[in-house]
Amino acid sequence: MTKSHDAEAQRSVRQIRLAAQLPRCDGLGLNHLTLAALIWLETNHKAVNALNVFPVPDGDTGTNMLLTMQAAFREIKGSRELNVSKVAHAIAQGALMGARGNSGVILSQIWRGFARGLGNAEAFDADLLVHALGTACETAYRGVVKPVEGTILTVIKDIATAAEQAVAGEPEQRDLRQLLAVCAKAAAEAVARTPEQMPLLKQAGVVDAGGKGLALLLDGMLRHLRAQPLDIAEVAEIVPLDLAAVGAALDAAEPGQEWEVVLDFRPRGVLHLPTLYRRLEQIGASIQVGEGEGLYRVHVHLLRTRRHEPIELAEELGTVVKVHMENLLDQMNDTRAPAGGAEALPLSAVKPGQLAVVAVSPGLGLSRVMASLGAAAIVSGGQTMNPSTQDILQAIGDVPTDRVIVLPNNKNIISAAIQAAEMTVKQVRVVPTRTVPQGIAALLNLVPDGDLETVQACMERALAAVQTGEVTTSSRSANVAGVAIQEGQFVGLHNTQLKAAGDALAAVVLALLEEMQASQHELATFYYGADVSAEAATAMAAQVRTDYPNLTVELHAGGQPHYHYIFSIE
Amino acid sequence: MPPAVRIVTDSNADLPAALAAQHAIGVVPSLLNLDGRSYREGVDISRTEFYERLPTLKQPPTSAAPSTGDFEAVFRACGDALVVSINLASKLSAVYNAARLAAESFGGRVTVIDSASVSMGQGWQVLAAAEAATAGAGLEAVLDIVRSVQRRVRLMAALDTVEYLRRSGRASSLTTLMGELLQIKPLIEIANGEVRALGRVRTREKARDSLVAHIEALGPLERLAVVHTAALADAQALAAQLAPRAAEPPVVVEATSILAAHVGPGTLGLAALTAD
Repeated sequence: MTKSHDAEAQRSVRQIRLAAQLPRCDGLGLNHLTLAALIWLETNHKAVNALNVFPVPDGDTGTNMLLTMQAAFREIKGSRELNVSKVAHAIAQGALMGARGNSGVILSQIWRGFARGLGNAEAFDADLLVHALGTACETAYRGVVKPVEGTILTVIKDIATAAEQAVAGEPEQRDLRQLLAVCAKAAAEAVARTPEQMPLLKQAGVVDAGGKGLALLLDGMLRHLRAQPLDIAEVAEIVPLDLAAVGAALDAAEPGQEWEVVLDFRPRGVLHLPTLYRRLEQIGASIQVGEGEGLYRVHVHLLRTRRHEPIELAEELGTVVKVHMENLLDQMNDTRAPAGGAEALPLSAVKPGQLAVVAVSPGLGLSRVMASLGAAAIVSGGQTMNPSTQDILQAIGDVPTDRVIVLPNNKNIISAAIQAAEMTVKQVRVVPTRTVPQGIAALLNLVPDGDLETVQACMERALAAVQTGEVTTSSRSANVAGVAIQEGQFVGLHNTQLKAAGDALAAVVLALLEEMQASQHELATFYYGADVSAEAATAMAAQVRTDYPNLTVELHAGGQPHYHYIFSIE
Repeated sequence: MPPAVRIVTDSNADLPAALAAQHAIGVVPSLLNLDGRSYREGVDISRTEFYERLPTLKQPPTSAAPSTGDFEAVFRACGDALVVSINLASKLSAVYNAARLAAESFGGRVTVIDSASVSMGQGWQVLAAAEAATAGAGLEAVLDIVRSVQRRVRLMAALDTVEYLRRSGRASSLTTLMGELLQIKPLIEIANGEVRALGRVRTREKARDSLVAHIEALGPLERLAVVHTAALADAQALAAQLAPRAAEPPVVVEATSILAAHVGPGTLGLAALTAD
């Protein structure tokens, strides 16, 4: 990930002077606090990722919040601005544009409210901080259609309330360091209470991830003021290579980085790490090695022709446990705007004045289907790589018409889409599609020359008429809604709710079909994932046809990562 | 005394034979080409025969307009009466032009009208004209009625597949929207002689629901025809469902083989005549 903050800023964080009292904070102070918050979140974001309720690869909250904070900090990085409100507004703007996932969007609203609360102040003291936290809280609540307690919202509310009470209770209390300590304590307590407010969290045995992320930001600021280290995580663990890392690597992909190989292996005897690094460097680039409980994870980008070499190397050194390979060039084609090559998506050519659909798609095959049904722009992203508000905003801006419908196609992307819709002068409607099949059902109702509201209404009506099945691999052991799941098992979701689990992929698909009452429907459309072979998918479809003779079964290569199958029943 | 005005149409109006006979409507058959042989629609080949042969055809079926001579023969058979010929939309076929050329030989005695529609969208215009003529209406009154019906008639259909329409070349703008998915059922409307997309669905159930919703949006109906291509049971169910919306009991009509060749089997269509 990005350990690329400049050394000067890092030093400035470490060299914070322990003044006895800190009555005011100016722009530079807020700059440093923000960097500290970012670093602390970066250090701990994987622990936040681990807090997802459903053990499925689904919009990692820690990564989303981290990417949001990185975008926020980019706006003030290296700035010597002393005016605190200018710095806050820059942070808010960056967060707004970079917001990813639900928690990222709410976090960006918190920054927006905070910046507004500061008005155009040169610096803030305790009173102004209390006021700004209050407006941050209000803005966060207003940014959510149906605020739910037991989430990041509750945590910002408790922070704001605790700050207000601290200042009201002790009028002499003017030290920002102490006030921040009060806030951080309130945040931690609020996070700890979230399972009581949200039964799903309690059932899963976790606290709310977004709330935890926010608490970490305050902790980071406090650690900075206390001159505590920020780069040592609370929990050391094997480095899971999340999609954000792949995304970042993709952006930097150079010649020679055609494929990505990630493999886990257990070495025989003691592993000499410098030798391992040296040998990997001879094979490829972007090398990362993680370690945990005797297991090593290797990540490397290399030429297609060399993609088996890391396996051979690992086998020479020990036992290979797991291998994951990905064609980065294929992903690039998916990510980048079509350049007119053979692989270009058949995107709909929209004329000015017509309706354009901007759709989020997690895989190349799905992008093709969406494009063929009339999507004018595809934003790459999905379960674990939620696109930012900026990504969606850019796509909205790029279509040559001012009437746009956005299909987020994932429940964690809806907020970013709504936020993007609010930031453009174009007429934009977000049809809140929670899954890819819902997006496709909505897309069928596109009438390019139709009335925006009418088409939006037709699309929204269509959502209820399609049911979604998704099958993925559990990222940890859990007990959800009475279903006991082991890490690595296949899990099936019906309309995003976990309903089936098992060791055999086909069995989970069939269990899910039964749960969805497939026998009472006409059509099943399967989109198989990047890690499923066409042969395996065809065999699975044949099995479904045998079991459900009245069901028409359609099979497409979806190309999505992590989700072996996404399918619709209608 | 025979009516002063006689009505002629072509087989594309899908007018049930009994109604045509009852009002002495002259029907000029279009031609259906199957593997190199030409058949007069409804004369040389029945719908049942057509569907039986459809799966075994080496080439997709095509159609041809009747000749000018075919029209002349029917116009001549009308004797000395004034003739109103109401024909298939000129934008969809050469039928109208054949009738127009034929009329030139009759020195103004034959008025040819472009129905701008097909099937019972055309058929309701023909029937209203024939009813008026039977009741003794003169030429201008008959033409007024045709214009009124043409303004009030709506024709829409749910196709089971887009394949036949795509092959027919009648809806190029439509097929571009059908995409990569195999199961796409287009909803279409024929208006002003052109095929236009009403929507797309993926199941027969949604197709029916969508047709019903479109009909309900039209308000009270004077007449309604449910047209189908080899989907009688579905058509009857749809007619029963929509019966309360129309002043007269709905008519269930099996479309001509030529229409079936263009839209494919399993199509359900609705020709609705709104009350005003």
